[in-house]
Amino acid sequence: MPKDKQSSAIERAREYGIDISLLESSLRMTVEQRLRRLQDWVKFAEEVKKARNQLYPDLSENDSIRRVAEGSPQ
Amino acid sequence: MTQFEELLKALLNEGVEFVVIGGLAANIHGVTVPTYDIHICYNRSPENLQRLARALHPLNPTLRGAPKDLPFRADEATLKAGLNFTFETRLGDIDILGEVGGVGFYKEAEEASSEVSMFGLKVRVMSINALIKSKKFAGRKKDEEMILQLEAMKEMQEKKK
Repeated sequence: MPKDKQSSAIERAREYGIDISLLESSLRMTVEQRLRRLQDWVKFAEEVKKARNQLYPDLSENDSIRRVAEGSPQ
Repeated sequence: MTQFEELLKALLNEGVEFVVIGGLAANIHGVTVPTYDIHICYNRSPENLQRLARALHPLNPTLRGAPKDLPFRADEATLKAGLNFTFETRLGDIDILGEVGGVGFYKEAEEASSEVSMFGLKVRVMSINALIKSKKFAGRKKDEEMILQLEAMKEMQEKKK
């Protein structure tokens, strides 16, 4: 049987580089806490974007931070 | 900046029938991949299209990526004529889908969802299994990590039982 079939989903995630302890701590959170964490992240990313725009005004219309976060090529 | 709670409230206050899907649903399940917008699958019944249009109207929706001066009204007729829309609103970005690839239309999405209470709201959220299906169906490289996280999350939850 190929290794992928044998290994658990947790193992596959770990091998990919995902920090399982973050998932465990996420599981301990309430749904509201998870949504607040996401909202905080979006707020933080917005601040980073503003800072980036000061450094690179020509890029201000290109939401490159978003594309990087989504894993798409810039 | 997308205000998740406010956008959900705007839809629920008008009684819109929808299921939260995509990255936000995955985050609600515990995934740690950030998302910047809300994706929903909505019921395309005439009554629900009216509710959706009423909910969207005060949010000043425009089509994301379209020229800013392009005339657009997210009314019932427009929603009926299309299926999937990507909007920018004053509360942030929202994608509304009539059909979720790999899952189906609202009926199937609703069947593959459960009700979650948050911030005093009752929201239907797509199940981990259906999210994995839809992400695999989309076949996008960028979803690789999310799929692995969802699968790991599912296994962790099963082990807890």
